[in-house]
Amino acid sequence: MTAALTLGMSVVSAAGKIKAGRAERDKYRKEADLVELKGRTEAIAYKQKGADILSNLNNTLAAIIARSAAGGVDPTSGSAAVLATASTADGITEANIAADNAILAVNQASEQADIYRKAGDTAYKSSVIGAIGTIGTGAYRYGQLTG
Amino acid sequence: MALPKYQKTGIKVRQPSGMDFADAREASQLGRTISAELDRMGEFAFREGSKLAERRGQERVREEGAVPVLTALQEQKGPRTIAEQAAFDAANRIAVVEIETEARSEMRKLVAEADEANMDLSIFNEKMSDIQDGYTASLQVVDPVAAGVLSARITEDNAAYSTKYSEIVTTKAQNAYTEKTTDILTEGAQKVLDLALTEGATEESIRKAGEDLLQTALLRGTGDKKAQKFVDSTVEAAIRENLFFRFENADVLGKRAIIDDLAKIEKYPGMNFEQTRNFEDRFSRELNAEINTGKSLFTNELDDAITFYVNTGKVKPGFEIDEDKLTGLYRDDQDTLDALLRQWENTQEDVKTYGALSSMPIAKANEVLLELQNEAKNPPEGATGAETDILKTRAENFQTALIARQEALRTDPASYVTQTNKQASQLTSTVFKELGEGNINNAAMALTRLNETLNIQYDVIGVPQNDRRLLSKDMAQQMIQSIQAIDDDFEIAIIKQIQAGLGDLAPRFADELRKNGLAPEYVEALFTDDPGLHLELVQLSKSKEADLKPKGDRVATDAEGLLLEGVAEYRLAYLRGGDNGALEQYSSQYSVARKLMYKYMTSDGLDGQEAADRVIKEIFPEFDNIVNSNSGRLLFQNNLRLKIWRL
Repeated sequence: MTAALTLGMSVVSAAGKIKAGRAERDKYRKEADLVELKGRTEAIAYKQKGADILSNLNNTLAAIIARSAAGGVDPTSGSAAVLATASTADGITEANIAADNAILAVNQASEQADIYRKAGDTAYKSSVIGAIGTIGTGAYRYGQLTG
Repeated sequence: MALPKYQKTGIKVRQPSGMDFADAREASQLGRTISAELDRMGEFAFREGSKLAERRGQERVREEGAVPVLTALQEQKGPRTIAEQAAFDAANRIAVVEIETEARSEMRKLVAEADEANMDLSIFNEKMSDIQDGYTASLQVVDPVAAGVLSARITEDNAAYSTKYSEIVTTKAQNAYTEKTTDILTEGAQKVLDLALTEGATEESIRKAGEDLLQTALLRGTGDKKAQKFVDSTVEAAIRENLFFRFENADVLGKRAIIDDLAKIEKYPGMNFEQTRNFEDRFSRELNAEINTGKSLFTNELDDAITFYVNTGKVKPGFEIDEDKLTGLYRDDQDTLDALLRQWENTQEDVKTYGALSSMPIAKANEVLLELQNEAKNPPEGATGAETDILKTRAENFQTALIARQEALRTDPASYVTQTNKQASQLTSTVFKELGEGNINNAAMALTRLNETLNIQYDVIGVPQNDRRLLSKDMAQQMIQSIQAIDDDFEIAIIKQIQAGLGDLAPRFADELRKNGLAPEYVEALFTDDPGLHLELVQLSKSKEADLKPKGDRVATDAEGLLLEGVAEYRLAYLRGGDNGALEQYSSQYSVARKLMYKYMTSDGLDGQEAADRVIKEIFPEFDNIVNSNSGRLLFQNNLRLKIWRL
């Protein structure tokens, strides 16, 4: 009776451990999904920043052209052209940075999500091993009690 | 004109934010989990292995024994493995018990041996120390703690067994002393009791012996009260024994005196009043019984002596009148004693007057009886009652003696005459004496003289010829035993000698022996002179007829027919006018002849005719000596056997 109870308790304990492992794995998976979502959100924000930068550059170039023409200056030469080129270079640089940042955000989020998924699987494996150990211990004790 | 310039937003390259390396953390956790589980399993395995190792170690102790295991471990400088450690621990525990048990067994054995051999205590202690030293030496293989425990236990056992033996020795010594004391006092008490049963012992001498016994008891350490009680009990018992002894050994008068003394005493030593009275009554009863028995005995003896005197004219050997004894017996009945004594005197006077009945002819005896009876019927004038009784008794006694004599003469006349006639008695003794010494001729001569003496006495008394005998029954029996006890070869010579010595008396001698049980073969041997036939007949007596009878149809019957035919005339002549006695004689003779005939047929190989012819010649030698009488009846011309037997 006592032996059977010991074995039964071990089995229940092992089942509990596996269940806890599964829950841990699910939690990691959910965290991975959330991290990916955050990455994508951050990437969208960077993309919006890049669009804003390009819009600002466009506005600046338009002003140069307009003011040059008003002043009678050829906007495609001289200082107006230099200034327009310099503004374009700065704007494009910043727009590229924003685009790179969006990619980085997605990549980092994806990496983190992978980590979480692996961690979840590992936690589950750990719980299975723990459960096996528990059942093994229970079986040993059962054997000790029943001979 | 100022141209606008692009205003930088200041955007920077995104720096990677802090990563949560959960996989590494979980991997680490997995590693720890695996490690922990493996550790746990390893622990289990180790624990199981330890158990097995411990069991192996304990098994080793069981198989090899505790002390050898410890010795082996000591040689390898102590236990190294779990199994060895377990063996070491178990062996230590067991060795302590084993060694102690063995030591206790040795000590117990020593106690038993010492008890058996009554060993001196100092020798016992020495041997006990040897045992302890020996077992203490074995402690060096045990671990120090166990050794300490074991040493203490052995020491304790030593003390316990030494104490036990000491108690045994003390108890033995006490018992020996007590036993010795008991022996001494028992012996002393027995001496006092023995003294009580000696001639002349008195109460005073018994009490003096009791005082000596008391001194002895006190010297041996017996308590005052106990010693006194023991001595009192002994002395009282001895005094009682002495009373019985004196009573038992006293004559009637002495017994009466003891009873009278007892009647005067209220309490006899060792008895209360009731017991004293009981003893007095008991002694009185015993004395009365003795007096009655004594009177009855004397009356019977007197009657017997009177009968003997009347018959023989002599006082019966051993009979005498003890006047002192009779005075005691008849103290209260003097008249009866006087009458009895007068009866004895009258008997003696009668015998002197008439003579002894043993030599009295029957006519004279009847005459005397009649005279005595008349006298009893008509007593003299003035006779007392007692005197008339005596006269009557005298007549009755004579009549009784006369009847007894006639009965004796009828049943065994030779015995009666031998007992009442001195010469016949002496001759009878002579016959046996001479036979015993091998003097057959002298014995035959004495037998002849006995026959003459008997015949003289038979004539005097008036015994008819047919009732007369040469041998009394006792004498005949003794003769038969003597003859049949002799070896066969000597027997023939002796039988011949007897026949020769007796002469004409031989047939009568043979016939009387036959009547008293002498085997028929011997009887026939006495009637023949043929030594070969003698031996044949003597040996024949040892065989049974059924064993000798020939087998086969009608062989025996035919042979017997021939035998009957051969002796037909002899039989007719022999039985002529004869009575049962003649028929008995003939039947005996014929049965021997038939038996002998069978023997000739089966042992000697003769046929029926030859055997019958031979037997007829040997056993019936007169078969052809028969003549016709004038009346036509068959008669023997001369038959010694018939002549004698038909006297």
